Amino acid sequence: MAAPESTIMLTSSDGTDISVERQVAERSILIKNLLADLPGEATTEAIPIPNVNEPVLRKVIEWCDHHKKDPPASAEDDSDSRKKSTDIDEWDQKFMQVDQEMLFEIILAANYLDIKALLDVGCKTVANMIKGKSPDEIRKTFNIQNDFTPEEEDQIRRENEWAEDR
Amino acid sequence: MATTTPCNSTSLSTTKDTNAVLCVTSYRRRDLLLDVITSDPSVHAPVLPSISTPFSAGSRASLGALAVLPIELLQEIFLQTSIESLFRLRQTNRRIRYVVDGMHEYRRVASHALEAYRSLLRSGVATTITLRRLFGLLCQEKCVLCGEFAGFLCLVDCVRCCFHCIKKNPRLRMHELTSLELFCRSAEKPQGLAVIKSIPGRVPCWTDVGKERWLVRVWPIMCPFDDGIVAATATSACAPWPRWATDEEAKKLRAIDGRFALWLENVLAHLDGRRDATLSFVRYNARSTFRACTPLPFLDLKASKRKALGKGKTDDEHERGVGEFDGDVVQDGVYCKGCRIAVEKGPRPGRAWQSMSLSQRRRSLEREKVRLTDLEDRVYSTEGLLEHVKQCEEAAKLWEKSEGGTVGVIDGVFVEREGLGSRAGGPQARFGPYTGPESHCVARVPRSSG
Repeated sequence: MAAPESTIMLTSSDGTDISVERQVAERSILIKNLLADLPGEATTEAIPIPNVNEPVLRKVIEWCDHHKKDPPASAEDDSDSRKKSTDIDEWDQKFMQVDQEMLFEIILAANYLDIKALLDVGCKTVANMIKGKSPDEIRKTFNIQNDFTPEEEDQIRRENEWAEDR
Repeated sequence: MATTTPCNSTSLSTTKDTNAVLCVTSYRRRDLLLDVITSDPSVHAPVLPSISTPFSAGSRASLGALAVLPIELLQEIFLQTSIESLFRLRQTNRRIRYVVDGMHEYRRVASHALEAYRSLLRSGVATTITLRRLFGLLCQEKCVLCGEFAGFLCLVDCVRCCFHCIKKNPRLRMHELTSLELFCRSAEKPQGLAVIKSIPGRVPCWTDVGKERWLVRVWPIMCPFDDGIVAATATSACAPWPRWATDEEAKKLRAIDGRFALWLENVLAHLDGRRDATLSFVRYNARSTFRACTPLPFLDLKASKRKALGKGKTDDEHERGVGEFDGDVVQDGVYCKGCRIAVEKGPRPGRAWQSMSLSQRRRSLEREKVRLTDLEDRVYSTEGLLEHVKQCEEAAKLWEKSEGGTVGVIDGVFVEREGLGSRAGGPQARFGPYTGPESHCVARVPRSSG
């Protein structure tokens, strides 16, 4: 059994070593499973995280550190209870106030490291970015190009008429 | 035991031919569709080719900034996106349309629950309900209030409910909010009441004419995530509730509309928890509640899976929803003909009738009446109906008359017309033949001539 204050090293994709409390790092299911497979003394070596660069990894660790006391999500937690709405708690909201590129990097890292709660927060943040926007505003937000033909635009107009309250 | 003569060879509880049982003992009601929010099939026609399928030509443009995310992650995001946002997203770019339509949850919602989709968009509730939740609702079978099969969605709390509860349960009741501007100031935050825009139904009634109508719920909205009912404040789905009138304004109001003021006071008292607002003195128009509900069929995922696997799809293909959903088992609910006959016969004296005193008889009749009105709106899933008819006396008689499902039985006008008829001949005449989910069930047994 590892002492709670034991630390491990993580190596980001750009080669920086970051030391993390084991408990914090274990928010990531990937790292947790990895550590469980390793024999005790091997944990002193740095674990390479090849898909995540340093700033993102630090950001993810910051999140894990804040949420280390959270009860672990149960395996069958796909029920709606957790996904009540697009509500995000205040700290997470602040945490997610980063530029779009960083946000997507965090989502990718959360997916890679298998941190479900963080992935969830990231997805909700993106969902909130889309919320209440017109197609044009969404295009602007994500730099999406409009490639509809005039006939398709016509069909979209019909869809809008359909959705209107008449 | 098996006899060759068709006559009375199988009793209702032992027959294996479920389709025959359904034909003989069940019917559909479509008169209810006229009361709740529905639209004419011709309204849906223009969007049918494109609402759940991407435009055929390949996409030239990219996803923009979203391109860094793999499709699975994008779809995870879209599951948590509101229905309204998804509707807009599909209009941004071909590629995004393709990604959204690639999600089986979206395609199933758009193909099986098109009416609910439109109602959510029209009422503005679509801005708060996520795709994941709407899909969850589509796959839910039972009413949150009574636990029976339910075929409707209440837009105010986004919960599944049955018609009986919409009609009878005060928790779902909506009241009209007329002359609101007279006594309320506009204000910033809702005060625990849910307000929703009323959408005109297909049968015009006086509530639909004139300016925009708002409906208000006096009971707290339900927290749809728990089985229990909790007092929640109005969600942002519902319009901000104007601040209550000051004493001065209330006085003015009382002078204008005494009944409304009384109602208002009662509402306030209820909110304060001072007394239970019964609102019995306010003439309640059930139509108001209907105007906040829309049909939502039940998608039986388990049965669909069995069917799909039977058709040679692999487990994985089904999970991801590859291909068309023509094999999906979707139910609107069916009604029992036997119960209808019991309702039409009216309350009957029980066995102990002779020994009862006059007041006992009256009470017994009252009870019977209540039981019958409950029966009238009782709806079943096909499995539920097959279970029910085993106990239903009148259904058993019908089955006997049909000689094991081989001879057509004579249906009452109500059953024939699929619900409460009007001068025009009832829903059957109005809608034409039923084409909804599972139309193969409840086909008519040809009536034997002579």
